[in-house]
Amino acid sequence: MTTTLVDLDLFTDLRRFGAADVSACFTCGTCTATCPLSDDAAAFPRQLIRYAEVGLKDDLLGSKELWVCYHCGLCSETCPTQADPAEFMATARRYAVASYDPSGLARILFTRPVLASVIATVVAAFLAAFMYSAHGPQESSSLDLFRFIPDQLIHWIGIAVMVVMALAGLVGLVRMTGQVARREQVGLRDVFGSRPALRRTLSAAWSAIAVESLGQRRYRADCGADDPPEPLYRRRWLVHALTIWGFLGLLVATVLDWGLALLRIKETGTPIPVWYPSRLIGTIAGISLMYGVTMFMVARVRRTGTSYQVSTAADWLLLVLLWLTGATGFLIEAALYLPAAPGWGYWMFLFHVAVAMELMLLLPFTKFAHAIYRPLGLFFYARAKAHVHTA
Amino acid sequence: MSEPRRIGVYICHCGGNISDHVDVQRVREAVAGHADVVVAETKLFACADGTQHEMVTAIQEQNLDGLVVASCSPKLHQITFRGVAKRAELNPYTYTQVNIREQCSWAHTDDPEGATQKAIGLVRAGIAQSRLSTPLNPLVVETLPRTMVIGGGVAGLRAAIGLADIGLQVIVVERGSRVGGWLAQLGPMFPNDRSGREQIDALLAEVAKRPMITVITNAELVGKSGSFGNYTALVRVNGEPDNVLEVEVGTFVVATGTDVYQPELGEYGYGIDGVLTLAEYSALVDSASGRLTYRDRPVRSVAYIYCVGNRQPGGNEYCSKFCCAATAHASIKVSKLDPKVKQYHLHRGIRTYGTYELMYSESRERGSVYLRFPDDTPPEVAKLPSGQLAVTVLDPSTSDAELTIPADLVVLVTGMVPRQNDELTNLLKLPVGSDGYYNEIHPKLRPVETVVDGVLIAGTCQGPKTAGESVSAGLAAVTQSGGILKKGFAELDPLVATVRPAACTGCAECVSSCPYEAISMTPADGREVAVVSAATCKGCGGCVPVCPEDALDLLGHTDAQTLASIDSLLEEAVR
Amino acid sequence: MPASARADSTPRILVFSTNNISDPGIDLAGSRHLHYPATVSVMSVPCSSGLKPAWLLHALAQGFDGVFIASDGEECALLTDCAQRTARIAARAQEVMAEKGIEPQRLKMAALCSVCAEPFVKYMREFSDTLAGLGPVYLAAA
Repeated sequence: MTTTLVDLDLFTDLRRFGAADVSACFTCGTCTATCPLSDDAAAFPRQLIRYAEVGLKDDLLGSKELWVCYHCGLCSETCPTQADPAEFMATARRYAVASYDPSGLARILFTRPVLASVIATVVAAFLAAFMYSAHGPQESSSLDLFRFIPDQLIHWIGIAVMVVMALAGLVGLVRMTGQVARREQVGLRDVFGSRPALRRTLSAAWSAIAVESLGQRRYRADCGADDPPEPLYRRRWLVHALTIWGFLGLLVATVLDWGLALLRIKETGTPIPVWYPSRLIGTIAGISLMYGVTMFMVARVRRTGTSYQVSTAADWLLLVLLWLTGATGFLIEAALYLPAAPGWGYWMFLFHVAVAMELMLLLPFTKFAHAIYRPLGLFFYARAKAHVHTA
Repeated sequence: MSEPRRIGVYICHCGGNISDHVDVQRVREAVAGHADVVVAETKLFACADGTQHEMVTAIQEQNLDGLVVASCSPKLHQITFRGVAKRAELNPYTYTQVNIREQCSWAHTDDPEGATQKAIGLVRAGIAQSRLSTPLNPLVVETLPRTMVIGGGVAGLRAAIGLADIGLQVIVVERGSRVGGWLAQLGPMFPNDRSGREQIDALLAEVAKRPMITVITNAELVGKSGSFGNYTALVRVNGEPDNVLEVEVGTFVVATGTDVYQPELGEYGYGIDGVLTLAEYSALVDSASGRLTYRDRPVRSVAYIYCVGNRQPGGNEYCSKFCCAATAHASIKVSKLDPKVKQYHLHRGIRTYGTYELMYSESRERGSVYLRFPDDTPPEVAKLPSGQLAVTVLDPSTSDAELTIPADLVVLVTGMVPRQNDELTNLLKLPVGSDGYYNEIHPKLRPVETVVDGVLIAGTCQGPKTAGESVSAGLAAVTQSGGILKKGFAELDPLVATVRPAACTGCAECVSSCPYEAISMTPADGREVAVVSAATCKGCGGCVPVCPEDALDLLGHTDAQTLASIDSLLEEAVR
Repeated sequence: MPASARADSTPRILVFSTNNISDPGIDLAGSRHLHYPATVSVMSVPCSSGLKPAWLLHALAQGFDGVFIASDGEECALLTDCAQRTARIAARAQEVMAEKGIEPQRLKMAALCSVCAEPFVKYMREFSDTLAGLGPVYLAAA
């Protein structure tokens, strides 16, 4: 039998990441029993609470279960000791994101709100200042944004930001994969080693990325047991889906715009009508994103429902960055269509680009990181689920 | 055979509990014609007030000299109908209760014919029993208004105060050099953090105010004679053979307490530096000022191993009840000293019952972690090369893997073990249970009485108890002593052994068969014959089959009654 | 099988039980409506060590097919060696039974606790089966 050395400091460390009030837990398992998403392939939250309390750090960080939870809050409503397991799960996810990041930046952003705000401001200001240092004239007849900040500069900074983000994200993903694979006892051969293994891998990836992450199937079907039911426009899954799709839509619009420029169909930055595909997609996606993010912010302020009872600085950082990106984008659009090119449009543009870049740059270090870790967790879950079903 | 009797027989329907399965009319008809039966009736509810009144009237008007009620178990209503007999001025020992409910109608709901025939036999046997009964009177003994409390722990001291307050003289006999027992050694206790010492001091202050109480330390009970209500006790002081006091008392309250389990060397690492018993650890915690240290080293982590020496198959199988709560309490104290100390509780199910649950909750909320290990896989304690202790444990509710917990201290949560007190046990004829503790007659209904009349037990000599429970038992013993002694006399059940002197050859077999020393040899008509002391006899009947001459009988279960009952059970059924 | 016919053919059993320990166990069997043959009758005594061998023999000679002693085991509050005493009494009775040609299996003794409802019923069914196999008591000519 293997022996695990318990980590005496795990629980104390974990508490820095949120209001982990789970010491009231007496391991009854009501949370796991009531959770609509917990099943044989992924049983939580009780087990993960035990890992945290007892000090099984590797088991906690290797738990795909963290990412199967959508924080509906049903467990916290039914917990007989008010240990708030849902908030524990959120806390443990923060802890996991910080642990997968070797740089220590994520830990600071999650555990030191004041420092996190300073860093967020400094990074945006630095990006803006860097771009402004190469600025051109502000045309007053029409809004020529790319004469103000050269598009090539934005392009190359953007590439740089994406590379840094991708590398940091990859490191985190590799570290998480190692932890989860060890706990799940999944080896490379099990994933790629044979034709059936490969088929299973592809099927799990499809489930994790398409069905669950984009389609929000279980979020929608199993986690929607609101009581009393929320009106559709306020359902968490819909608000979340609109946020994702809005964000992805904007990404598509950007890539499309770039692609059109590469194909020399349309120069970046030339004025185009609203119905032009990239603009149309961008506008609709922007509205979707703004709706989703705004609804999340309103819910967090008003604390509607169990999911929104506790809001940390990390929650707000992501929402604010997203909201600022979206809002400034629309202001630029408004400026573009205004008859006289208003001078604030240029500043809005600079601000928009800086914030958007920061959002991407910090992705692996903020709550945004769930966008990469959750699909990976869901991948392992889908694999395990297929195994449970065939066993 | 014997003189004709006038017996009343009542057969109860018990609503339908009996009559649904037993044809009570047929039972009545089967016994109505019996020579000695004057009244034979069925009743819807024999125990109802109106029916009892009818019975009293019938007994008096018909001049009955025996009563039989066939109804439920004697455990339920024997006292009721003996009371009916008494009210009708009929000797209560001529009453016989026949159990045709629990042992007939309810057991044979599948066989009404068989149940009816069985009931007829049982009622006939009951009639035989009453027919051969003789009027008996309760034994009346005068009692002395004085109680000896053996043991000066919390139960004994509190009992002494209670006894004095109801006007009884009390002699507290303490074997040790000072009173206070275990409690006097304990630090702050739940729920108000008063130390055990303070609580004992408060009791001693009360004792000092009561001249009715005499406390003798370094004293041991070495002799007891006499019988219920009038015992003569011999108390040896300071272990000196010549220094023996003779004290006359009415009752004894045995409150001799318990020992705590002492682990063997090597048991869960006991003997390794840093492995402590709960008592040793509690003393360490209570004496700590500022942070918790052990041998001048700061303690960062503690592992508690529960149920050491208790709940062990083949060993002490019982639960000591106080230890879970005491450990939870200790862990709270430690977290108050230093909230950073990591505390792991390795248990087999936490039994912090009642308000102790609050301590369990507080302990958890202060960061104590509770792990439940399987009964058959106890934790193991070892010393790491680094010098730190490590406990390995299996907690299936957390992980399939074995967990290793680094600990600066390992606390063995040790429970109670019965105190070896053979001399006293033999002297007072105290019944010892299979767990080694003294046995009360009934744990719920007669919780401090023993089969030896006037010898009461209280506190942890009965089994593991908390201080509060010990005090409750002590006070229960006060009430019982008061009930026995305050009237100045006591009535004893007269269903005791008797000797027919004419048949007795003086072989004294019966004398040695009685562990209560109720039988003695006395000269009569120039020879030695056995005599039973009715006040000392327990009525077990154990001497009866021992007599080679059949000279002994147990009243209420005489040879004649038993044989006649057997014959009656076999009489031809009436169809 | 009709009840009345069974009453005639089912072995008759006399049970000696004790007031404080086994009687409550037998009561409990009834309270829980557990069934055993109605040909089982119970007589209670304070302690099984007060039973006389003559009583056991009388019951067998007069028409009971078997006698069952529900003793207290270790729980007897009256006599700590109650079980050994009762066993000696049973052994004495069996000696006489042997002289009279009565099968020793017709006398059975077992400890029965105050909540031993199921064991009691089991004992009665098994004992009844044993006795049915033996047939009626034949007393050897004295």
